Amino acid sequence: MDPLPPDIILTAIVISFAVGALTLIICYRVYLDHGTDNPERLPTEDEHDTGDELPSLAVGSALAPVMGPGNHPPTHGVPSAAPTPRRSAERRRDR
Amino acid sequence: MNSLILPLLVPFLTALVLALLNGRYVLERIVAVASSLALTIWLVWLLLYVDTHGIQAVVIGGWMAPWGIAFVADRLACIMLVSSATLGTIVQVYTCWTVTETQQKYFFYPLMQITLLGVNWAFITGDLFNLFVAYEVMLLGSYGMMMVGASRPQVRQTLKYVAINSIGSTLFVVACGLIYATVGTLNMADLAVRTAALTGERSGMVTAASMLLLVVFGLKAATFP
Repeated sequence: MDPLPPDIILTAIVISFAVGALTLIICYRVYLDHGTDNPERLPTEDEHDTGDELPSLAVGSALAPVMGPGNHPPTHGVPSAAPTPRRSAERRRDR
Repeated sequence: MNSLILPLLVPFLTALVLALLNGRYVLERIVAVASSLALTIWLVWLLLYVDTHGIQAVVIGGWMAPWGIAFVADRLACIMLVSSATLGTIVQVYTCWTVTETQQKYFFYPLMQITLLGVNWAFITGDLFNLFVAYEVMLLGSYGMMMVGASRPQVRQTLKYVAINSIGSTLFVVACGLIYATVGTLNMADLAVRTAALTGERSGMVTAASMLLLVVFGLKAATFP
């Protein structure tokens, strides 16, 4: 029997599995950030966004404060009044 | 010439070491730049060696051409390897001043090394399906790098990037299958010989597969759509 086609299919399945898991996580993050994962309803321009501001996730504990769709804090998804500028934002302004 | 797997081995091991060093900012930068610099110097030597001694090849595990995966270093591959390694080194030196410690904590340098591993792999492989695997490794590294810091616009745009590249990867596998069914090999050197000998209906199938590959590479190179 030709060993190559099963080999190719298995490799493709494994890779799709990894990429699929990553896609699901990204979808969930987008849903947490914006309350939707419909690309038609996502904001398209970055100016209407909080820009460089880090979201509620703490550094180093990327999975710790997982929030379900029901218990969003009220400010979540709404641009905060005074985002603390970070380094890249300052650089962009200087230019 | 077994040392041809060095362009894969060095970035891979460096990525592992860098992932373990996460949090030691200065040491991480030194290791990343030193490893890239060493690989660049070795690749320049490989380019000169290939220039004088002709094309170098290694088949992994000693499995011969129709089944085994060949790594081939000809002059074009070496030139591309040298240029990508040089660019990678320069970019990593530049990031020493521009990447913040917060961003570095999101595994910036390991992801950079994984991306470089994918790029080197794509240049040195002599097998069409192996090229697909190399592309996926490169893409997974770049997905991670796009999300370094995980701010809201970054995650949102990464979703679109992942979606369009998933379509591209699917088409790539389809094209691989089509070529294997028609020509009966995936080795690139073998493909060139056998495709030239095809006639009639089968050469039409090869044209269809080539068009699929054109779409795939266009997608990855951001020229299409």
